[in-house]
Amino acid sequence: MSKNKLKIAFYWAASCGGCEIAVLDINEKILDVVQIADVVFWPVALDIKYKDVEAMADKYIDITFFNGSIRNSEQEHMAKLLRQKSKTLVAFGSCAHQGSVPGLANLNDKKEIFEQVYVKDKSNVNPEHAMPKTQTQVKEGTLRIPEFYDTVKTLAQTVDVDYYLPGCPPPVKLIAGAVDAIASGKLPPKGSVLAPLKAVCDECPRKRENKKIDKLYRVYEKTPEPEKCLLEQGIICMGLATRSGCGAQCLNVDMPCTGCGGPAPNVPEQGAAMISALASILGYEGEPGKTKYTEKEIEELLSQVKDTVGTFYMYSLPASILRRKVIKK
Amino acid sequence: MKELVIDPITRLEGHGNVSIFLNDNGEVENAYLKVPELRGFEKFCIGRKAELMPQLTTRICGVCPVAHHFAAVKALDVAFHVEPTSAAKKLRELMYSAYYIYDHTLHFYYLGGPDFIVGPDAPPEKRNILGVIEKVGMPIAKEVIKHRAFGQKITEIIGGKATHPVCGLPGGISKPLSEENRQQIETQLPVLTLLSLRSKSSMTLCLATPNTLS
Repeated sequence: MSKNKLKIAFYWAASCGGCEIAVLDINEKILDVVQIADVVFWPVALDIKYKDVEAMADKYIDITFFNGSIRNSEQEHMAKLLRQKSKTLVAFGSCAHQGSVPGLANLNDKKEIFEQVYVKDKSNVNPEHAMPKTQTQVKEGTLRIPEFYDTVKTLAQTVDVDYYLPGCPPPVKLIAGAVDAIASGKLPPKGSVLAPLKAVCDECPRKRENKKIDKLYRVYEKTPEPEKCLLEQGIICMGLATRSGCGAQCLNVDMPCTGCGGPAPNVPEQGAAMISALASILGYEGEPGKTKYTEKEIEELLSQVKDTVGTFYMYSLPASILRRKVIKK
Repeated sequence: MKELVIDPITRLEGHGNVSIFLNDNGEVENAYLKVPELRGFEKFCIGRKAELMPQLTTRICGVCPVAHHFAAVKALDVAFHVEPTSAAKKLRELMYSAYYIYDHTLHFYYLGGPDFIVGPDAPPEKRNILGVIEKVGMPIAKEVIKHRAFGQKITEIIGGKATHPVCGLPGGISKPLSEENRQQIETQLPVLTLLSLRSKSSMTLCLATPNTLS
């Protein structure tokens, strides 16, 4: 292990492994990375164990790329451990950044999730309603698993974070850019999101005409016209409120942005920003001058939005001002 | 009783650890696999829009998102009582085949392969893709990277994103394949022949390594 090489680590908490694949998707560039850096921890690829990380001196690792949200006590422990062992900590991908899809579990609490997973699901045979416990006594000794929390947290809600790489997974271009910035020592100020200062709409080739819409369509209800903004065709697209860097990839296959890049620059609350944008264009097209609506008309327009939280907060519920559904005690 | 702990288990997608208990004679008395991971898709997918399932369920596993994507898409076909068009079936099959190329390459060289190619007796720091590259050499490593990328590229063309594609809809997919994209895929096809040759040489390597068959 060379003294001059950077020491980097990758870790996954409550995640899917897609972020690890995104790292491999930089393709031949990975060979450059191993020229400038030694990977000292990466469970998906290397046989290095937790005890090896525990044994490292504080700040031994130059940069840790941490993906996944914080769902249980092991993930919280690993976030704290890797913070302690790393000079720079990057929240890598939507889960660490905003909570992402696993964060939708904040619509439920631990009890409701366990009931569904271990009792109600059809694939279960569990007449005794056995549930996971942090400690289980077996004749050979005690088995331990982490404590499952009620609430999913982002990495920054758990430990101090230096940089954020948005996306689910982060676009290859952004990863490659981050690698170059690290290699040349030209990282932006702490707290920066390592993505262009634009919204997805700015990268989208479709044209906006500032049209009002009076009807919303679900993606299977309409074949969108080519070249026209999806939102202005009544298909909810999160592009306005979402950070770019992806090249509007979903739009390339005629599907709307669902918001994985997190909030656009200067948007503190992605879901609220999108709801606000939608509210400003949703109206009766035949009545362009109409500014006042009755309660009934508003209700009629808004009732077209199905599953508000899942639509506007698919990737950002834990990081949002809503954060979670209130737990009924 | 002595407990040996392997924590975490590595080179696969997912979280787990193993406790092996040894008796006083040093023999294995029992072993336990523990899975310290749950995200609760079973619960939080309830109440979401049906058409979002192909995108939500990909997040079960980002190493095999295409499998989850199409499983959900097929469920939508049934739920909406629609038969996909012939073109949609072919494009779905093309994307799934591309996913095979990428996923099998990943599994063989990056995840499971190191146990066979550098062997189970190699030191832990060599039992990984970097050890594989060292053993098979840079020309083969570059071929491996190229072929994995080819599979990912096709998924990206049809699915929008290679990891967590978005194209699946009940009864079809979101966009036809353009002539330009069709040609782009076709021009890269000859490399597939190389893939099978390289796989053969890897198998030879694997078979020539002691202990892999015992």
